Amino acid sequence: MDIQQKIGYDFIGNRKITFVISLVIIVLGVGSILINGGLNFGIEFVGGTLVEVRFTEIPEVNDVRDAIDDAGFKEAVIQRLGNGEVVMIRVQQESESASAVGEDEGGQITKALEAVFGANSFVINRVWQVGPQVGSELRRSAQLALLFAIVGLVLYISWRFESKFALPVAIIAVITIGLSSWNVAISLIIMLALIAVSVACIVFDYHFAFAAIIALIHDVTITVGVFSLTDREITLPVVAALLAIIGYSLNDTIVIFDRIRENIRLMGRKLPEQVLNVSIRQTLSRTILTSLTTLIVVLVLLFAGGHVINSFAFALFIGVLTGTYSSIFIATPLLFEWNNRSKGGIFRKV
Amino acid sequence: MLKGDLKWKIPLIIVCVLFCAWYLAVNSINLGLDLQGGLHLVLKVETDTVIVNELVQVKDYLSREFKKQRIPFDAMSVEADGILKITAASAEELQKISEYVAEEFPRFEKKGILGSGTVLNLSMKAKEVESWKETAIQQALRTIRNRIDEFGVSEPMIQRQGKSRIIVELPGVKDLQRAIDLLGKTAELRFQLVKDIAATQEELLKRHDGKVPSGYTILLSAPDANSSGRQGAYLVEKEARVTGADLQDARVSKDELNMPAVSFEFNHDGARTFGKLTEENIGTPLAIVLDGTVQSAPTIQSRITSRGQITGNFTSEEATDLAIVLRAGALPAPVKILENISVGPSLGEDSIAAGKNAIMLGGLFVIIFMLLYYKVSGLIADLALLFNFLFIMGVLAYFRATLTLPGLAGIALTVGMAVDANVLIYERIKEELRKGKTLRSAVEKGFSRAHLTILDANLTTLIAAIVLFQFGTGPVKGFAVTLSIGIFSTLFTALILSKVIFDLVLQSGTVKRLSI
Repeated sequence: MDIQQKIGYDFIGNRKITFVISLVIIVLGVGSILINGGLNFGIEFVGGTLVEVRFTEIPEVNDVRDAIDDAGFKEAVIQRLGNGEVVMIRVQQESESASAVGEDEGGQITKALEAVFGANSFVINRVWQVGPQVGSELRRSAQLALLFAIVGLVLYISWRFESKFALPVAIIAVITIGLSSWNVAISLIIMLALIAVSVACIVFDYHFAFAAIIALIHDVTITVGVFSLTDREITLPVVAALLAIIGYSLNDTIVIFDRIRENIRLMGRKLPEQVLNVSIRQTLSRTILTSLTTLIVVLVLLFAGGHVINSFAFALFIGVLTGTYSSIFIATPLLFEWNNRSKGGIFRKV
Repeated sequence: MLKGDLKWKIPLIIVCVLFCAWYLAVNSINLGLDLQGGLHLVLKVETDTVIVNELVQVKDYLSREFKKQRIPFDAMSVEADGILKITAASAEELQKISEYVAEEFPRFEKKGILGSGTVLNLSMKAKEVESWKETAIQQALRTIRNRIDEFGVSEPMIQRQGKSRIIVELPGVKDLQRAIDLLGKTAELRFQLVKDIAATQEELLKRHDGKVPSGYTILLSAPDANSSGRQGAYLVEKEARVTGADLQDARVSKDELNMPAVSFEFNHDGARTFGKLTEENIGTPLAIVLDGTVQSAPTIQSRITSRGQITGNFTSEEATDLAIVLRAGALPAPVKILENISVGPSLGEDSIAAGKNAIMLGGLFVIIFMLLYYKVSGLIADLALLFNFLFIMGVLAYFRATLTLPGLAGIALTVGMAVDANVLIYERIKEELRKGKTLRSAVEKGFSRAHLTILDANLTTLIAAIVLFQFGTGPVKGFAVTLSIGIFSTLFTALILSKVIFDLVLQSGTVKRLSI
């Protein structure tokens, strides 16, 4: 079996189509985030209480809601899982100023359920209470993790593709990490760092690194956007999945870019779009096969891994999909766009 | 005979396999709280209260001494931020006070003189504050450790975090709420003489002209479950004559009505003080106060020295826990729960089952897929995958790493990503074959040219995993651990183990074609 020989698709010629598709998904995702007034964060980031109970008999959701309402938690989110016998109740921390978890909200919710359903009709699967102080710390360390992963990977990309570029990026990295130990909003730092790196890319004409970084931003933005569109919570494991995706999706890009550089040497006189198309085709079966095996596992996790890691598996699923897609349809065509715009053309330097 | 690099590769593989198999057999893999159930608490010791308490003590001492030594002063109060404020009528009087304090309490320093020299702000020196707080934390750690020991938990983890936090992890604990109550209770036991008792606080205040007499304070009893939450109000001496610090032992017992109660025994000093107290106050009620709530206030019938009993509406569990906290000692300051993760045992079991299923099912699919797509070569990749799994588990066992649910997902993910390396190699081999190379040289070329790419692919994921390990907590850390271990074992199985199998197959010379 061989995938690559049968494909005649013009990846470069049709780049406008995929650019538009990506743009639409990104606009939808970012729009959804804006309309919802930000992302929907899990209680580990905002503070609150989560109680998960398993009933012996499937309860009426309205009964559960009434019980929780009567206990005074009007804003509680109630969610049924599995076949409906598992119910998750989430209450967000009410006062931002409090440092500790609310007055035993877990216990109050349990008591309220006991009063309505009887103590023997359910067991507590888990109780999770996070005070706002711990919440904001977790939020910061999650952001820091994202920052350091991006810095680390951008450093790696730049060293890998244009070693001269490693120096300016290293300088930006040091400044970034220095800033992060101050009390500066991490998201702002991430943006500034990425803008600085992009400017450096453009000024010094570092096309491979630039395209890889854009693809990386593309993947994270789409994954986060889809989470907003599907109204899923951003939890700590989701952030972990995001980091894994950043690392993983870079693989495909690096593999294709390596092949492009090899082919530029081998087929120097061919047109850039031909070189790029051939490189994609040559690596296509590898790209599809490895993504497929990973996707198989991720799908199994998504459907058989249990509800606790469902969002985690979902993030991996979206991430692996977009990662593979972006390395073929975004990163490589970006190289072509660059070639059209820059004076010397990208193939001159290699 | 083994040729070339097989000479060292095969023994290396055998050593690795034996190593992993040995540690898998000897060490058990720890399960994280999310898999085996249990309790994870982040507690904050409110060390500021220790300082405030000390200031109150000093204030009381000073006002007594000033009266005794006829040093005039207008007012004295403990302010927020650990300030003791003394007001005098004139600057001269304040000067006297200031000199007295400087001599008697060298651990205090002037924070400023205000109000044209009539107001003195004092606070403890920063170094003193630090050492008081440090002592409080150490004592809290000791107390919590004692309580957990008494409660009986196998392999508890008690760890200090930062300046004033304590992390407690109790794996496998089933009665989660009870454990939380046990750890969160300050358990400050005080014996205070009662001046007056009434049904409500208002009534008590009315009897005393609307204000609490100086040297006294009002405490309430615990809401009575039997009489619709009625709380008695007690006017008691502010100062405790005897405290829980003087206890030697506390055990569960029964009261006259055969209800669970807690019997205690004083140490030598405590017995002497308590004997004197009871002797001098026969006929007066004595409030037994636990964490600011009156448990009971029996009238002293006779002189009691070493033994006593606390009664209340205890269940036998509550009595057991009260005995535990009294034996283990009081916390020096109240603790607040900053984070509480309680996982019931059934969810843990479900999660283990789901994780195992995902790994097996995912693995099975990947194995079948590789077999269908690459035939014999796929079989080699599958073999490498099985060894990969063995290595991951073996290394986990060797490090006694903690396996969490995301950790299991990490293993599953590794299974999916591990064959990536084989795919890279195989696709290269195919290309070389297409160019007309012999099988032998195509395999050599395939492996050597895929090396760099495989390293790349795994390094990028490793960077992410390391960052995750650094910043992650609990379950997420488990993901970073299995992902990292998976990356190394993938490199090993793809670059060394698969190559050895290919070499062995091709070495015989009989194989001319290989389905790939």
